[in-house]
Amino acid sequence: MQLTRLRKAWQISTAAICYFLFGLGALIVGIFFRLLSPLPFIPSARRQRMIRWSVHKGCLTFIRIMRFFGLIRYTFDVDSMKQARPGHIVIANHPSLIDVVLLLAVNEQMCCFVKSAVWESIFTGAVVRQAGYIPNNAEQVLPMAAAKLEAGENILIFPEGTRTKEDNVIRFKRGAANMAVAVNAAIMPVLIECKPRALKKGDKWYDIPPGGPEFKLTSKNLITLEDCIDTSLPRPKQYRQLTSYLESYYERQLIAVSDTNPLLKNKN
Amino acid sequence: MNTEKENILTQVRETLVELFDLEPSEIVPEAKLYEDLDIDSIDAVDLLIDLKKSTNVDLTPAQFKQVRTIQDVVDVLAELSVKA
Repeated sequence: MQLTRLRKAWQISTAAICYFLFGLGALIVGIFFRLLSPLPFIPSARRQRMIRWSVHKGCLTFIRIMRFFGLIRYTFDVDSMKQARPGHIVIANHPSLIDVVLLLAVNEQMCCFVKSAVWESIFTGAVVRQAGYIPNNAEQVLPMAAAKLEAGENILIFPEGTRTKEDNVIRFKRGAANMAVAVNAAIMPVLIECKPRALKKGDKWYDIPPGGPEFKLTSKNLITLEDCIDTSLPRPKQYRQLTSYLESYYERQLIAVSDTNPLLKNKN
Repeated sequence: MNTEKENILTQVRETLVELFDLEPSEIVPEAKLYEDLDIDSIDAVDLLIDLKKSTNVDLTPAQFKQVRTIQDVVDVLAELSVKA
């Protein structure tokens, strides 16, 4: 009893330290690059690369600190993503709060969408703006994303739009498919396993199962549109076909991984 | 609804069935595009382009912005075809 309480207190304080460092890190990177911004000799493309690199390193450091404190465990199997030709859309299921951090930790240069709370935040606002990320409430989201894909950037999107519910049912919105169809971009599917489920929507940030949840990121083979839909159809039909194709793709993949681990399947 | 609007409705129904895999019976005047027919803003752009072609009416995104139901679509098209 005493020990459990002690462990809980340790978890809450270490988690607090981690999130504090995360905010501080974002703030420092943001201020640093803002101070650099009047300097004319750094071209903006170069600056964006530098900031994304800093974000990548920052996220890597954050998950290493969390692992050090025993708050999370993780393994990555993402060679196919690193080797995939640029200009693709990275999609992933979205079980937890830190999915985006894990994905940024394995991708040195990746664009993502940012919700307005993060865009406006004093901690993260400066970084995400200077990193050339896309605010998801902008009027021109689709043309902005299309231009970046065509310029060879990779864009991350969670097609569920929000974290997976308690029931683990995958429901995709059409945004990712809209983007892919608009520029005929290939799709890099990443599977995120989080066992046991933790840091779900509505969970408290400090409410972490003992020993920490185990994350596993696995990137699959690149999917091209011709592989899965009839590209001669009217575009609204293509969006719908692609969305349901990807949805059932993830359903299959998630069933496959839970079958290989019957112990965890029964527990969930 | 007069015959002209009936004709427009028929045309709109054909377009929606063709573009969005909907059942003709779902496309009634009071159906809401977003809530009932799952047509989002990206779809609306494609719908606009298609309606422009099939009806020969010069429809602009601004005129389409206020549209909520099938009835609204029919009304906008009817009004524009009178002007044309």
